Amino acid sequence: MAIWNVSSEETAAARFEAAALPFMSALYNKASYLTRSSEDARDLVQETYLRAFRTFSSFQEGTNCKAWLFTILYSIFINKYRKQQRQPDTVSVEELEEVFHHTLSDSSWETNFAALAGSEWQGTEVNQAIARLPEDFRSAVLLVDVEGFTYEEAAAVLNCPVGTLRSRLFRARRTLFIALREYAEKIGFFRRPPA
Amino acid sequence: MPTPLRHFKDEIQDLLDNRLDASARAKVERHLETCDECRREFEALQWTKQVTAKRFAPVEAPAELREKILRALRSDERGGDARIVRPRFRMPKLAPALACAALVLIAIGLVVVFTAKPNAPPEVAARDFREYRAQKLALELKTDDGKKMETFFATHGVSFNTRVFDLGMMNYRLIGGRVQRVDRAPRALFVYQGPADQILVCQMYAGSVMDLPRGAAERENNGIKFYLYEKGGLTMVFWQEGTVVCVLTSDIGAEQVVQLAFAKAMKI
Repeated sequence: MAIWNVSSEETAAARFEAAALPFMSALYNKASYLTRSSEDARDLVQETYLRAFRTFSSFQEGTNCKAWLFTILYSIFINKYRKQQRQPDTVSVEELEEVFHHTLSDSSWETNFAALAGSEWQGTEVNQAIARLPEDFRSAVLLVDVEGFTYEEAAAVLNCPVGTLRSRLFRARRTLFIALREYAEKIGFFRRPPA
Repeated sequence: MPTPLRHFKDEIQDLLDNRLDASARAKVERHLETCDECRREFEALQWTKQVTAKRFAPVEAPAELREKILRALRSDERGGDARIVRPRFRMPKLAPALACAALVLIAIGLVVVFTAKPNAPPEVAARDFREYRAQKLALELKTDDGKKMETFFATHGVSFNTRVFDLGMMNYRLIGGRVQRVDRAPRALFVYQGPADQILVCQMYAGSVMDLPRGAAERENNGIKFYLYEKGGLTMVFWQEGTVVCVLTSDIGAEQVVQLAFAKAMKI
């Protein structure tokens, strides 16, 4: 960090802003998935930053600032928002896992994944695929696969054992695969080859 | 039903996440070579992981949220309308160590006071950006026409030639500008708005990059030197054009500001 940075009277604030603000979009994204409301997501992110700022002195420099912020965000969410939240219809992870294993043991399915872009799909079905996962599962997959946290970091954010995180992550991916595949099928991929 | 699929189901994902040691990894990889089902499962999950990473990647947080949070942080810092009021300077538990650290910081601060004046160019650029964003800095001419902007500067006391870039290719649109005075020297300040309401402030003033404070990260592109400062979530990128110093300031991330600077400085 440049020496120039400590020249200002607002050193602590500037250090906090430089360390924490770059993660605002990531936090907002997570907050949106958690709260399903852009207004609640904004409040949640703002409260996260305020709380983080007040406890910035307890933050160890050199440790993972992003994981620290996500931990704060998640704990505010659990304490404040989850209770009042309307629980959406979630899918049955068990059922979809069954479908998953069944699908992959059927060797007649086309499985040329390399040919499937996927990331550009615009359909709201794709969003629903993740929105309808039970929250613990959705959080696991968002933290690890989208935000790039290690299992240990993600487990710390979600305040659960690493083994639990790992199991939720694995099951979430199987479930997501089925939902994504259904969408792919709908738009013309994964045709069953003629018998 | 064959069983190997169930047998390796978790190890497949450990492999995917690169969490196996060498021997376990070799074992799973060997299995994948011979077991169609497990290989398909691996490919399916690999694909799912990739699609998830891209498809659910964060979109930019709303610009007004960023501003709201900055305002809240600053009023919190001043002990303003914070909902949880706590003394800001609590006696730390690690008092002795922190006291030493504080002394060191004060010492550095004293050194810096002599080297970095409040009107140091990066300070000025950052302050003007924040003031504009807080709507404390009105635009004297609102236009999306670069030529009109240049004429405005020429007829309002800016003695050097200004070059109001067209950033349309980068999806940034000129919205206007004003003559800004620092130590009574006029400078041209003009503002662009990005596709998601990002703000980019450009300033030009007569001077030399040799007068910039120490501590800049230096970059080079097309034979032009760029001096990069980051402070409080803002990035300031300076470069020299003849007798004029240009600086771009924004909170859109260092690399984006640098790329915008590269794109414009090339066109001299």
